[in-house]
Amino acid sequence: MLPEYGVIMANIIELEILNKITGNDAELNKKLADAFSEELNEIADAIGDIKFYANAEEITKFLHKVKPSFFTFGLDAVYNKISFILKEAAKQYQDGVIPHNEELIQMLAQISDELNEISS
Amino acid sequence: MEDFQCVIVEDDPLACIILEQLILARTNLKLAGVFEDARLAYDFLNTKKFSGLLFLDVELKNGSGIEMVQKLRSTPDIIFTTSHENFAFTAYELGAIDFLRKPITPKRFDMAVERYKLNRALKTTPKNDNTEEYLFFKTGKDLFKLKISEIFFFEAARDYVKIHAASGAHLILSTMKDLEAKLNTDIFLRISKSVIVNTTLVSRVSGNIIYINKASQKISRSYISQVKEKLAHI
Repeated sequence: MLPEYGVIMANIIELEILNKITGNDAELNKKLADAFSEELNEIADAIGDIKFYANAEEITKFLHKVKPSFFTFGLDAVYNKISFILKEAAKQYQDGVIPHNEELIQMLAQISDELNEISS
Repeated sequence: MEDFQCVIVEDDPLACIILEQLILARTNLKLAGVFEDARLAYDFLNTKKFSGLLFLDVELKNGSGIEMVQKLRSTPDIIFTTSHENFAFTAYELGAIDFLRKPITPKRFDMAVERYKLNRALKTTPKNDNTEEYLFFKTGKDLFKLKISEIFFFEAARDYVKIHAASGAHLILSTMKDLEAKLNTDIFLRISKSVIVNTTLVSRVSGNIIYINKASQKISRSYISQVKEKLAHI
């Protein structure tokens, strides 16, 4: 599960993008937010496992699979950042360094909070 | 109005929700099944000999959507869904109706479905056996033959040209310019940068829309006067 962070930042989800995809359907927005929340938990679990960083090819596949979900919520820049962090982490792992992904976890936590707002 | 059966094979939960919603919101599209597992989808499609419209994720968690569909005894019409940016070429090579990049927007979805309907209309058009004139087209090392009366139109597809014919869609390696130079201009007419139509099958021109049997194509502004002039003499 995602940890809770007390950091206050501007919203990063772009509702305009989401609404373009759903045709301003609040019910559908809620469904998608719930599904993405679940996916975020899976993502958090995956990146929390040190073995995840052992295979760079798997990371690329993983990133590719979750990319549309981020883009659905207008989180293109966040996705690019996550992609960069994870690829760097894989390199660190190869060098025998245990990756620290605090920034990444914090980003996911913020997205999760914003998704809860859409769902409520 | 004809109903079109659809099946979704998609393991991306958000894309699946969006596709389901889009299909259910359209009156003439019916949802026959939703699968996130390639093996279950394969069993369903094979058992039912499904011949409707398949929305197929290229990469599924437990296998490739492409490999799954290649094993099917009869292949339905496919619209691929993918987050690959450069999949258009592969999609055309696989004879797909279209491909949708995720996240899927309603506008792009409707465009793909219209392509499917057009394709289906062309396939079900009765054959005209009044003429035996035909053309040969090269695909790879092989030549294949199409009766002129069965060719509806040609459509540019990057380095390829897609032939929309009564027998279905065929892909040939050519540019529109090269193709146009080889075609009989008494019969075939270019209506835009990307489309050449068989004028003998044109049923109507309304504004900048040309109707070829049940299909319609847009005439580019730069071609409209020569198209109307040409058709006025036929």
